[in-house]
Amino acid sequence: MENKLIKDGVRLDGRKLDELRELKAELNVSRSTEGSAMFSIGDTIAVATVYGPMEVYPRFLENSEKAVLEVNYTMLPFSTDDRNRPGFSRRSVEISSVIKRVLERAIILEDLPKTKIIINIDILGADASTRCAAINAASMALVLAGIPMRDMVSSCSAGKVEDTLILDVAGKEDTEGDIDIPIAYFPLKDEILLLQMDGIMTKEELDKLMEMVKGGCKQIYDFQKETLLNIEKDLGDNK
Amino acid sequence: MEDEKGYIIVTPGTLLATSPKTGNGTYISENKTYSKYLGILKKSESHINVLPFKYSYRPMVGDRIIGRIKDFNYPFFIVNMTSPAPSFLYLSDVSSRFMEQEELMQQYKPGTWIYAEIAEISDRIKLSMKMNEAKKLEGGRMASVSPSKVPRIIGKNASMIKMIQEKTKTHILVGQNGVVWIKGDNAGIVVKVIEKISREAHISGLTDRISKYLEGELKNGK
Repeated sequence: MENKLIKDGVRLDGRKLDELRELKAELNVSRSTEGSAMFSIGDTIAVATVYGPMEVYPRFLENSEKAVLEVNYTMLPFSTDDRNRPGFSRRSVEISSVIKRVLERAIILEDLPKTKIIINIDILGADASTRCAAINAASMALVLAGIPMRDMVSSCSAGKVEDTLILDVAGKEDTEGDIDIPIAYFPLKDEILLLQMDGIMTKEELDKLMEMVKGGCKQIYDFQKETLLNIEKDLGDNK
Repeated sequence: MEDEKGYIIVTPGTLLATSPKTGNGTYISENKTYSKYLGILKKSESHINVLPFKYSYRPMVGDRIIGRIKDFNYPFFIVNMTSPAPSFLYLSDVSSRFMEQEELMQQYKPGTWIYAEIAEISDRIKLSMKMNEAKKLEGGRMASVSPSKVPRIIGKNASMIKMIQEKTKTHILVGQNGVVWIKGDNAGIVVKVIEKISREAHISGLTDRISKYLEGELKNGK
């Protein structure tokens, strides 16, 4: 066993067990949309663009009590090592619907009756936990578009590799690890909006992992907030 | 969140008060008041308001808006006013004097910009052009800003807009929906000024700064 993923508490890319990859964010990357944001964690890059609120077409989808969301998550052809076939796949439809349910909880839909909000999320680079980056980017773009929100959502992943619990799974840890759990989290109300898991683990391990991943989400939340509070620098690009 | 600049920026979900308080741009959950938008916090004893940097226009009765005629569908014109729902201008509300349908269709072809008032909001938004200031906008130039910046462009007692009009010798109409119509030779400068206002609306001493900026721009132009 020479190619161990974790050696003396240090991972392949030199991170500690509970350390996130480098976070980066850019606001208003697209001018023609109501709001847009780029969020990257390590080599995973997501760009979210928000259109609307707008009229609902087709008309039968219209809800006179609240807004309707449309989420399109796509992985661009060059995002993975092997070329990814463009367009929708089973996977992208599943992730779109999962993200939609998360954002429906975050947006105050009752404030915008009879309207539709379109959120397009493109993954420019995929290196594990793309749905987490997608949720983070989307929540920042929604805030910039001036859509009423309960709170910003932050999302982060955790996993188990070689019987060790780690935060923010990346690269080989994702493909060779035992467990991968992405969660989306409301730090304000300590509420979990998304929790998916594959693999087998004990209840104690899960409890420990949840503590770890909540800590990671809080770090991301603080980062999102700090970026948005520095919006004045970016106001020049955006009317 | 610095206070030294004279204003505080808040993000959605920021705790503003531990008791329920009324105000715009906030929501109450479990007897606590939180922010709904990314914007500037305005606190008074009884109210807490958050002025968003950006929000989509929500029509209110009595608002004066600038819209564009999209189509005619008897008995109304469909008007696009950059809000999520379209608005409708009925033939009987176009003018206070009687006009034939043929004549109206000649005058208000699709693509015409109009300045009108919102008369009624029921299942659909109805416009009226019976007020004195209502008119068809011919020539000139359009600019658009976020509806949250409209009060800054008008200024206190219309001081800002009066100043811009006098200095640039243009005629400016501002719709509550954030569409601005400018007519005159210096329209290009006015568009620049409006962009500057919408960028710096939250920093105090706006009128003085804009006044200086305008003078500089006018000198460069000549």
